[in-house]
Amino acid sequence: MMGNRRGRQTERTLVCVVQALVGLELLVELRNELCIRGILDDCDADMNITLKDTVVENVEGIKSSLPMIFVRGSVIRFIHMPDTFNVSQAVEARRLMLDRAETAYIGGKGALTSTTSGESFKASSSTEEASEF
Amino acid sequence: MATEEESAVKEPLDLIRLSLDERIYVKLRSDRELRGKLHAYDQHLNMILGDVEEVVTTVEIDDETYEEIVRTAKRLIPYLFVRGDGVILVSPPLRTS
Repeated sequence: MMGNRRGRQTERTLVCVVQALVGLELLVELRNELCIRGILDDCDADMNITLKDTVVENVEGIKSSLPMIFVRGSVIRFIHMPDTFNVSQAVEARRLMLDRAETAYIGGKGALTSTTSGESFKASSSTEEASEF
Repeated sequence: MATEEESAVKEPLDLIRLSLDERIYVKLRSDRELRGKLHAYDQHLNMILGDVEEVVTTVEIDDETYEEIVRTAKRLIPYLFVRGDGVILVSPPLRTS
């Protein structure tokens, strides 16, 4: 946990909200007047996003269907969110999920560990496995 | 207990903090303006606005008369995330038209 002293940088900005929107269908408006409706697949700390099953509409109204798009964060102007979206709940849920994922990875009683013989998925609290760390 | 210190306005971003949950006016690049309720903001001026009215202003110049035709297009968006690099200014709503 020593590397996490500063906490997750994205939790100090609103990028964590976009990250909490993963899995939802959104409308993303870009600075070049392109509108992309699709399901948010992933978002990184710079707000670079990938969208899947998208319909891209340009200024003239011409639509194209693209299965997967990567959008650089800096070209995003707006993200239309579903108005039923609860921001604080979603951000908190994601934060808890990440905290749990970290703890599970580092290991502890009952966590998934592997033995030196290559066997994996052996959940135990035996001391010989704990010494691997 | 909220003390004076906690709501002290120390830097410009604190002025925006005073407008949380209030309606605000946001001027964006590309001749756009937003009016909506400020739900959240950060130091980049990324914002979450609710019940937003967006006004896009375009100026066309007539080829023959050379007069400027100012057009505005309005849109209503219920729940919007605004990326901060497009924001020029934030203000309480202007009492005009």
